[in-house]
Amino acid sequence: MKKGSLLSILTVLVMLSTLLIGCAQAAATEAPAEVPATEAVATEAPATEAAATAAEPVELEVWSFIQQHLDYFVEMSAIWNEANPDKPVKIVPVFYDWASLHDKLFAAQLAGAGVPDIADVEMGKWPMFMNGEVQFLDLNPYITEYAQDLVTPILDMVSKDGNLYAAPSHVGATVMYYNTELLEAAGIDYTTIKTWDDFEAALKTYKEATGNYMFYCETYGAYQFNVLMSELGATLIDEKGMPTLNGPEALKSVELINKWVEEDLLAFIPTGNADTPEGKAAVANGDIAAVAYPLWYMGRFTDEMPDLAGKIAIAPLPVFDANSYKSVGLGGTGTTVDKNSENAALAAEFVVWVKLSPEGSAGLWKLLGFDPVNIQVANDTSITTDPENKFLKYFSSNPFEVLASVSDKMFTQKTMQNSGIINDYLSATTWNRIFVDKEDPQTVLDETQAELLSQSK
Amino acid sequence: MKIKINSQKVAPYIFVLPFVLIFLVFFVYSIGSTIVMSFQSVKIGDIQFIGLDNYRMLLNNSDFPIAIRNTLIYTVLTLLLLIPFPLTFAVMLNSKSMRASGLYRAALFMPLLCSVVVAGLTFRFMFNETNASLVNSVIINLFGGEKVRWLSLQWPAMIVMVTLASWRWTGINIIYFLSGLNSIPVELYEACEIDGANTWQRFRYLTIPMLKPTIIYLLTISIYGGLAMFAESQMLWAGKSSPHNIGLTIVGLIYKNGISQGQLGLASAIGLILLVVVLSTNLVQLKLTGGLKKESK
Repeated sequence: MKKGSLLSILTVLVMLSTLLIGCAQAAATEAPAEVPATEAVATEAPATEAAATAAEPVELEVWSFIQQHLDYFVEMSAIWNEANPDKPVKIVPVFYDWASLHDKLFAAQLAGAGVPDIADVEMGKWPMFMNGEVQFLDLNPYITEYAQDLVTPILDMVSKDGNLYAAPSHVGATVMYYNTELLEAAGIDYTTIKTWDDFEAALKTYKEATGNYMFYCETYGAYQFNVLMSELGATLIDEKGMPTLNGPEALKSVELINKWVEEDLLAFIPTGNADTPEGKAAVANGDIAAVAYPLWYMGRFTDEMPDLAGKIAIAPLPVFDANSYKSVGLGGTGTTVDKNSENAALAAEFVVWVKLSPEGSAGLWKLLGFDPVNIQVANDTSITTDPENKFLKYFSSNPFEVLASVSDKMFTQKTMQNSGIINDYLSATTWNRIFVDKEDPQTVLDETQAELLSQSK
Repeated sequence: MKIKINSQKVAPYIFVLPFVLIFLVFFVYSIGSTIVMSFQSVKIGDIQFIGLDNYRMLLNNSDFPIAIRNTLIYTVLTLLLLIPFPLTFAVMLNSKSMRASGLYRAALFMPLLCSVVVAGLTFRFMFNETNASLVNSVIINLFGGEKVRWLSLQWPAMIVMVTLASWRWTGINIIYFLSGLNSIPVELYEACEIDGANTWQRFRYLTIPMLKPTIIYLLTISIYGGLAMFAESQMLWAGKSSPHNIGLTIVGLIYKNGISQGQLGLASAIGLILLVVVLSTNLVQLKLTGGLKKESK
């Protein structure tokens, strides 16, 4: 063989292999990979060591994508160890960013190795863990002590086939946040807004008075749609988890927003969502004067919009009529326990205590501003009117009063295996076709339903 | 009897061994398991063979044609920009009459050193949809136009993606062309000049033919790079779906199905289709450009 032809064969081989490398990179991300422990930011928890007098503490590895959650677990483990000297725990906190945590947890479960004892799972990612054989421990046997005090619709969100697979962090009751400074300048008293008709009147008044928009059209995400559907008592999925998006309630919800869009009463904010950096900038700049989000959005105000302190009021959502549901718990994080963990029982006991007990729920509110799942906390005035609490200081109305006024009629939207696909399709396609391209709502909803049915399993 | 080891003969095998091992373990095995998974429904604790169902689902999936369309348009546009312009710049930088060429080389190469995450975020904010974003404020103040909703509309979004790619990759392509240019013997140019060839003729009949191997190489990696684009669009839309999926690429679809929604079987099927598309495109291109021909001598 000539040297020249050998060289050219070699060149082609090298070229092909670079191609294959590229393709394999794509493929490799799909293949179950062992979780690299080296990437984990593992910090030991010194606080737990002091209590290890009676028994040797059991190490529990905890994964979270929120550092404050990990700090909270570590802090609470000291209190746990004092109260339970016979079964002390030592929390090994491991931080991953949001995407890596869920990717790694999914890969670890698939591979059946490297799964942590305890892991936070965000509701947006919840559906992928409900596929196939669920690897989380059923927490029902562990909550009996507190069961009567817990807000059940929230537990339903993280339940499947009667099994409770996570301890939720909060109720996540959806409310309306009003910028009172802007509304007052436009002559609007937010406390008079009770129904969507009142809300529409306010939209018009605000537009006439200021030339700006009071509210926005959510083109990415489905909080507004979920709110309206829930008030009408309709779910986005049926009992089997299949999409139900072209019923009369869906049409009514979409048409309400669409009417405001056609009358030019709603802003289109960058990214079409008020929980992105661009969207939060629109809220902070006063481009809009109201947002509808769960109570966990309070933290966005206190941490990222300090200039608005004292100017934001929390109020119940407007309703269609007296029969409407008043709120719905949306989003959030559930803390799960691996059912194959050697210390599953202890981990479950700890998780339930740290998140759902009166002490745990109170701690979550004080440190993280989460509306408590355990209603004992909401009845404790030393907590609900604490003048030092940063959330109570920031907002001009008391979130606990709002919560109390809606808690008798809360709706539940289930998150099941197809919820991720549904949210994604609504965000990418449906809202843009209806609100931006002005296509006929019923036609688009019918096509959305058909497309999502074919993608669902 | 003595066993003689001819080190001259063994050495090459030892040198290529690390590559071969890595290739077998990380690539051949991965591709093999991808092929198997593309015929499976992969759920936690529940893996089943489902025949061609993943491919059938893909045919009915409305995202798939969109991803293919976006990826192809993106690839063609990057090819149209990232071969001729770097070539022109490289010739200019190589010219003796060019002043401060070192400075330009550094400046053009700099973007490549910037991580795609940082670049994507920066572009996302530059092309934000408010009047105040960098690009919109320039358009409004200089040309008096309306603000452009860059990341919400198909063609503006494509312009942003291609601009990002051009900004990042022009420098490295210039480097390839410069090294190609430096390997052309000066005597050839002198001979041309003596024969009376003008600048354009020298470029057309000497520089381009002599750069053919470089052009073929760049074409190959650019086609692959275009078809495998992912990180740029992932960053521009912050890992979320873009409106009407205007930023969805084939690899983006793999990520969305496999990682975000946990449908590894379906994602594997898409990955295999991408493999076939990339391989066949590159093979056709190499055949047409003569990259597969034996060197004649």
